[in-house]
Amino acid sequence: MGRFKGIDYYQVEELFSEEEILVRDSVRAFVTDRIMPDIERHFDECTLPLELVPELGRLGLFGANLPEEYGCAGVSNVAYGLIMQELERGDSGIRSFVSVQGGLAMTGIFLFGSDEQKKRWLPAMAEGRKIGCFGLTEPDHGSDPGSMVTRAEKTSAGWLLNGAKMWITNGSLADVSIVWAKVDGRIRGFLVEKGTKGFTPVQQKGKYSLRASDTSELILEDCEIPAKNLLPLSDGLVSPLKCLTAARYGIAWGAIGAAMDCFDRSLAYAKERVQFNRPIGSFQLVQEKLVYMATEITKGQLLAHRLGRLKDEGKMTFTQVSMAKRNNVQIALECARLARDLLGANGITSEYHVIRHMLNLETVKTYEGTHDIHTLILGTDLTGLSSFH
Amino acid sequence: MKTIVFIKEVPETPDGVKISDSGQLAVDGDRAFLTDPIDPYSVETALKIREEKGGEVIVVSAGSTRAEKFLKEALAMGADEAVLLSGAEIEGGDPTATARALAAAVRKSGDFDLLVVGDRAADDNSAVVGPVLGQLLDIPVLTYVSEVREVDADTIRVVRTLEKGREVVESSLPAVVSVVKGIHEPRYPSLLGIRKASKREVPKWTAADLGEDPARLGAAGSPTRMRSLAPPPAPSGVEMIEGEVEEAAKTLVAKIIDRKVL
Repeated sequence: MGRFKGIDYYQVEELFSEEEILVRDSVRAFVTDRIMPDIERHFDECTLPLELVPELGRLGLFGANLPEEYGCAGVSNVAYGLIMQELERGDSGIRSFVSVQGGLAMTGIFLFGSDEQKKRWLPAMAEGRKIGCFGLTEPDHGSDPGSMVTRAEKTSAGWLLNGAKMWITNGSLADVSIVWAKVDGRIRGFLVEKGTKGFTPVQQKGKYSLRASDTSELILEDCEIPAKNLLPLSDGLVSPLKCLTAARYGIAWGAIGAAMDCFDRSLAYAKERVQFNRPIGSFQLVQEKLVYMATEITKGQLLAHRLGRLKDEGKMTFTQVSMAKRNNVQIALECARLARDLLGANGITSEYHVIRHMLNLETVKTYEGTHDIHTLILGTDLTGLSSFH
Repeated sequence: MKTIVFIKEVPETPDGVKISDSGQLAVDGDRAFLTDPIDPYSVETALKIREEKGGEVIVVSAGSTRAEKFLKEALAMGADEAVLLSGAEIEGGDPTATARALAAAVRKSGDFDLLVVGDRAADDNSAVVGPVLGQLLDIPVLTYVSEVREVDADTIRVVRTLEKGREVVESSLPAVVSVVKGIHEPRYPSLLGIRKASKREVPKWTAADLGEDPARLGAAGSPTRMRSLAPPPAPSGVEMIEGEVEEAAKTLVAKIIDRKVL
């Protein structure tokens, strides 16, 4: 395998600014040098490469599209998307770490936090000195977060939280958890700091996917937090959904990165692997797989690019994000499955990476709005007829 | 401490470069170029010295306007200034003609303390630019530097990694230092660095700006010329030894002895 150069069948690169290309190339080099050499071990051992967190912070990848006044890089949304693409070319778990830190936790504080909360948390999180997570999903409430049972009650000193959250990326690592809970039936956001009495993160075991990532349950048992830890501007289900839109935007780009890696490895393999005295790339059935992958990746790139420009212009809608997340994750998963198939027996080994992408993408298809839920969001939007109620 | 670092674009091998039947280089578009892999090490060396001693780092490249992107990468890493020596009269020079352009740029930019180059370029592998620069500017040249031990206002002490061992050398300043990979781990351009760098205009100096006779620069001023290129011979005789590890190891040892490798 030579240096990863990406896939650019439609000269998509010409649509990016010089700054966006420099950002992509810097992250691409980092992923090649620092993530790829050790990612299979981390996946095997079910560990997040924590040693990379300060480096990711130094590069400026956490909350990269948030403003400079909070210590963030303030890059365009397209540049942010390219960062996600390159990170997920490495591993969906690493991209998830950065997505949750920036797209969910930092975005939540940025959108709904007080000035004091923003100043306290955002610069530290941008540098990677503090880690954040986002607790919305519950054991019995996934696609329907509005029916959550976690409650917050006002006390003389602050708020008393009770409930449980599940499938929380970075949950056991987080210095600050954004926990969504109902106050008199209305959803509000709260900052729960590591070590708070009554707050217990428990790492979830037995995952066959996203193994280089921390996934945890958060248990809140009479967990009392100060009054100032309420996110003052959070109000209703729309608040966490706004954060999810930001994170799903990143996923729409990230999935392309995983697909690109699968294609790149498949193409190299198809040229090198000889059967029946010919490279297997000369067989039409193999070429069909490669053509499908390249075409779907190209369509995904164009979808993501247009979405990014709309976001930069303030015109992006959450339903457009649903379309891109739904499509790009689905095609990435299909590319990974085809790559696994094309590589034959080698396709199931860690050495060739594609099965790791395939297993990861099963999670990516499900989290941040399942494929089917995004279908319903789009169906509702197109027809004007609710598909949920 | 004023340090000037020289970088260059090189065609990417092997994918980006084809050799035509007539023995000429055919490069597949702009995307097939990248900054010489040694360049980040040169830039990092200068940045580390600046962190310790203060001063400024200027990055210079001679060649096509494509190199502007790579100069901006160096600015994004933290260099203070960048200059591109460009124009038809400068492009296409051999290492000697290129060194003349670089030396003229050094003279134009005033006093300096240290010049840093890569030990050799990834394309022509000539390792000539650094030494010729030293000769043109009449300053000492320290090649194959793997460690900068000490720098002060007038002297530099470095470790040179040579085939037969390591050599600690002290030299007066100003001097030319050619560095080898591994001297430092180069930093990645940060997003904030990239944002600042991409807004910068990189000044372009032509032969006229350098005050250098065009007949001594570029292709016209090159004492050497590449006549033809040929790909290296394809590797042959590769044999995969199949079977269980112990059996395969015995076969391998037998073959090594048989072919008198040891």
